[in-house]
Amino acid sequence: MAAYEMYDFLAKTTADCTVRLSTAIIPQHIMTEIGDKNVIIHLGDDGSEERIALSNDSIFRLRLKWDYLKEADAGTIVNHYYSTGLANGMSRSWRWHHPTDGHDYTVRFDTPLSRAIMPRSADGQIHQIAEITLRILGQAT
Amino acid sequence: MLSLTTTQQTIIDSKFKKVDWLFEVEDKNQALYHWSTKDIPEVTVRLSRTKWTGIVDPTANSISWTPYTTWVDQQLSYHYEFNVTDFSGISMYRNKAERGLVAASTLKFSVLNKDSIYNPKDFETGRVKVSLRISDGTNSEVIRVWRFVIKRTEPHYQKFACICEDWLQEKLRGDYPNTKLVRNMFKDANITDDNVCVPIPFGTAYVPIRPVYVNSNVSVTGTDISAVASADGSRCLIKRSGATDFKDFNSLRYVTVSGFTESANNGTFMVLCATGQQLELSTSAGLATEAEGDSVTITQGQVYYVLGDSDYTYSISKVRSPRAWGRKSEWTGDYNMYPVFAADSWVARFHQSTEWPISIRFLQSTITDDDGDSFRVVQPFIADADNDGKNDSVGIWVSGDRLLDMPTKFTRSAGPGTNPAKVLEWILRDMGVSQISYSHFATAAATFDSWGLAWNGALWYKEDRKKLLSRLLVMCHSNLVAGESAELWPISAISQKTVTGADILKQADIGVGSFTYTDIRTEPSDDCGYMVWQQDDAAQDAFMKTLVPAKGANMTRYSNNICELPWVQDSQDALRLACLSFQRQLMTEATINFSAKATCLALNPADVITISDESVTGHRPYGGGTVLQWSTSNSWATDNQWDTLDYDVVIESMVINKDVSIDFSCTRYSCSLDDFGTLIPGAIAPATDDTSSAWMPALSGPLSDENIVKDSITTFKNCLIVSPNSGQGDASSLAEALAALKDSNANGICLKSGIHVLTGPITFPDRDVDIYGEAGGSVVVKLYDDPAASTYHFKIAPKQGRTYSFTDFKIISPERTYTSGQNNYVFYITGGKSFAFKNVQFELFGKAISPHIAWLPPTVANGDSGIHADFATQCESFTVDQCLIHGGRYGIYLKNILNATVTKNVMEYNFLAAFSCEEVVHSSVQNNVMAYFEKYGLTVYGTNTAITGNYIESLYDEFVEQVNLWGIYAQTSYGVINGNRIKIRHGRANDCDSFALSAASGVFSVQGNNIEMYAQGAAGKTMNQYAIYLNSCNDGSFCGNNIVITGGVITGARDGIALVSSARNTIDNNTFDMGSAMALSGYGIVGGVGCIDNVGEHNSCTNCASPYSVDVDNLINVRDADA
Repeated sequence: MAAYEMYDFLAKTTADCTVRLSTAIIPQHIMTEIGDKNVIIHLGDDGSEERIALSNDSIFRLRLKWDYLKEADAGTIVNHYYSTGLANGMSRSWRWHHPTDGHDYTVRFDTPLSRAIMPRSADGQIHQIAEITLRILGQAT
Repeated sequence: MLSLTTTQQTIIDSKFKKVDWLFEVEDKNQALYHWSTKDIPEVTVRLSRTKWTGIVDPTANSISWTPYTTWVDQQLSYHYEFNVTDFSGISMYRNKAERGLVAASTLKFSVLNKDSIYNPKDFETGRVKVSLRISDGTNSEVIRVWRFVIKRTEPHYQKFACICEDWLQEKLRGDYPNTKLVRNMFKDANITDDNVCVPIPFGTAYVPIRPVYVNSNVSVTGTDISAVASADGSRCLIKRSGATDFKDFNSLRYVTVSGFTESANNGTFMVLCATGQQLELSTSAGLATEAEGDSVTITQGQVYYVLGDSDYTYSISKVRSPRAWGRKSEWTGDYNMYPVFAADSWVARFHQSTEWPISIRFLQSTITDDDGDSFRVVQPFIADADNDGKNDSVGIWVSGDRLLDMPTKFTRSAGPGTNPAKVLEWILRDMGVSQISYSHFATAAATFDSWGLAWNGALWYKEDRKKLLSRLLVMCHSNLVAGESAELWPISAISQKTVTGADILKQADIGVGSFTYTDIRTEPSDDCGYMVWQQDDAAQDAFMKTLVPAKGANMTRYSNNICELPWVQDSQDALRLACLSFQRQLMTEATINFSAKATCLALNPADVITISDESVTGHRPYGGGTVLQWSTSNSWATDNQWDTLDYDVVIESMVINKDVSIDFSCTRYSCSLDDFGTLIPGAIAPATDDTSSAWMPALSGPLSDENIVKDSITTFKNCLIVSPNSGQGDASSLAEALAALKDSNANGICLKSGIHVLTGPITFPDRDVDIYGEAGGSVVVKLYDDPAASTYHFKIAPKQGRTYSFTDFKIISPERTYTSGQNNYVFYITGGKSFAFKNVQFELFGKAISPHIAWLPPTVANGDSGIHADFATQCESFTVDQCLIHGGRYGIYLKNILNATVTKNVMEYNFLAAFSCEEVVHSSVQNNVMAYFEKYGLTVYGTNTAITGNYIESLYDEFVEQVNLWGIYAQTSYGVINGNRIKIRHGRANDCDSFALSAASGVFSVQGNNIEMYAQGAAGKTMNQYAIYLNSCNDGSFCGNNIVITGGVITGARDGIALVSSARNTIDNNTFDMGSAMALSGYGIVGGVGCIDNVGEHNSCTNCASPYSVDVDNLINVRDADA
């Protein structure tokens, strides 16, 4: 069986924001891919069930986390999150390059952004971005 | 329950379902949006705005539902954008018609409105069509479709909520029918302020229709209109010579006249009778005779009953008196003239021709109201105001200052018939419901036909549409479903589905499911109620209330539960419908709630489903077998339905959630539900109340032959009507009417126009009697012929204290051959207190007075007597006024009377005597004509007598011997004989005396009389002629008389005033002319034996031997020089 990526189950979607988050900022932990379908299971009193698919669309989310980032990289992420012309929080979709499968996806932030700033080191301040979730909306066009 | 295709059924039975909710939203600007709860690239659907072809706009008057046409289907593909959120499902409810509720299906969802690209207000009143499309992975079908109207929108946070209700609800707001309130038709009409509107009948309706008074609605103007004053008691008249449109005026209503020169002719007058060219007004209307020439305008306001829209034709079969009027009276109509004849043609014929039967009653016409709208109206001619045998007056009932509605049985053209489905369809159309499922209505119609259910009634007052629709649904035991189109579903008690544990949902693997059971019994609960209905041929403005059991025959507990069935006239059908309604209303036991899988998606509210416990081994989780019997004493005690694990419930509501799970709310009943066809109640046959002789209100107004008047005649009416024409009176003969008087409070007997033939003597009951002929009519009473004996046609035996009157009719004797000694009496009266004859004409049979009555036998000595009254006990009063007695033997003979008054009569050709009376204390004989008698003109024996102003003439030229002739003979204590004109001709007679005026045995005043006498005698025969002959008259006055005596008499006396045994009389200022060819000596005043102290002066004499003749026994004191 061939390898399948999210890319194979998503339709093309044009991002609101064409600016792509810098590919240099690579997730520093295990990148968790969460997939789902919009299906409801009706359970009868006799134990039988009825499965209701409200949609055939696949639902994907990715969890990312950065424990150590330079101030500039963290600023890039923060700027991307908060700038109204970019992601504007969760309100706008944007183009994201998957670091492992090599595809570009249209995504949006699906969680708040949490940043921690460490004491100054030799390289300057150490910034930490807590786990965020990206909602994968489709293939980037 | 939905009727699904095999594919659809396969889909909903599938364990896997993919669900799409498709929203077609049309805003108020007709902008169309295709939205969903997700993005759906391409969906092929049927065009949402399908239209009918071949269907006339239901708002137009000319609604035509046939021929039905098919849907205009168009397959279009749409991209359904994700724009719907917060969609939680669709709620559907059962119409609880038995409780007057028509519930709405509801829907709420939100529309994404990022950057406020939509104006939420544009969506209010917009339309939403929601389609539920389900796929089982193989096939995809739209399973259900709903249509909604957006009632309101609620914007918030870049989206707005749409609160919707099913599309039918907006059609059910407000009142119905759409027809105009009658009180709004004419601004100046004084009409009851209520909700009565122009009616819409279905089938044959019998409902009240409202009268409207249209001011000056009938107007005639012309220069050919004249006025005629009353003369001698005749009615005043207004005539028209150039047209016949006076027929349009109603009798017994006022007209306003203007334009005459004579002011007395202008004003407001009551019309007593209207014909094409003449209006009859009362005698006292005061009109002055005025020729045509002025431009005269006559207007009249009239009352009409509003039938309905003028675009239809109407057929009226019956009307009745309003219930508020009291006693019921109905009038049927044998003819409905419209539209067979032109509107006015029959009216003219009705008034002017005799070929139309009198039963023509319901005159229809068209009126235009203040807004210019036209309506058909009717005027019921139900009363015969002038007793001419034709109904000429419009029936109107007044209560206070309002006219009452008249219940009318009628039909309208182009109606939907009597099938409830057709009627409902028509009404829904008229309410503005354009999308109707004809297949459902056709199926329902076939079901109703199989039931034999029919509606007859009308919508005649405005009421809330939902309330009306609820009542209609109860009347056909059906449910109205607002799906994609309006669907009519006859309710069935047959279970549509058995719901088991496989259908009922639970929330988790472990634990109880969604099923709940709530007991809603009340103690004690009613087990019966009243159905309100009306039988056929009875007015539908009041109804019978019949107690109906909800189940079986139990009627032990009831309150005022009502099931209204005004249009159902079959009692068995009404019982069925009421029973079925009360079962759902009264016999509720428990409320069942549960959520179910989409396998139940085909069910509808109002469906009966079966809850089964048997699917769960060893348990009864759904309440089966646990219900207590609601009464241990009823017949269901042996019913083992409660011993099963299954029971039926009725679905009250369904909420189809977004995930197509369905929340059910159901009602369990304490009895098994029946179906229309399974109930076989006994028919109700309301008894006919034959109560008679009840108290009734006194009547006034136009008479009629109908029941109410007939009944009232026997107790209150002032007369019985006798008509020789069958069916036009209370009695067909005078004898019958006299016999019926004993049952009446009245004394009157009205003889209607025509010939009343007597078949035997008429005897009178012991009571007052007033017999009179129809006013203005021609009433003839023809006597019967009994040649074998003398007959007494009207025989009034001694009835002391009774009064009798006879007025306005004519009596004719049959022509016959008299036998010897036969004398017939028309009126033979021997007793009574008071009598009055007025305007009675007698055509009597008797000897001819040649040459004037050729048909009478010339030689017989017998004949009829007109009035012969010989009282054994003195009669108090006897009056004969304005009568004509023509022919016969006697005209009038009276005896033993206190007061006799004989005035203005004509008595002619009475060959023996015109008028005679005896033993009359006070008699007044004035202004009569007594002509062509053979022996006596006027004979009076009495005490106090006044004979004045009469014209008395004898013209007796028959050859006769020794028959004397008297003009006036008065033997009375006190007599006044003044101002009479007396002409006595005694031709071809031998040895006969003539007396123009003969007085005896009293004190007389004889003044101002004109006397002419003529006699012709044969040679040698004595013919005495006395103008005034006094015998034993004392202390009298004989003055100012003018006497002329001529003739060919050879032998005999010819005296102006002759006195015998009379004294102390004054004889002055008389003139005498004894004729130029006088062959014998004539004297002006002749004193005979026993005369004394008479005096005279200023008397003049022409052609006399002497003015005065005094023989040896007389003494005349002549006081003037001209003697």
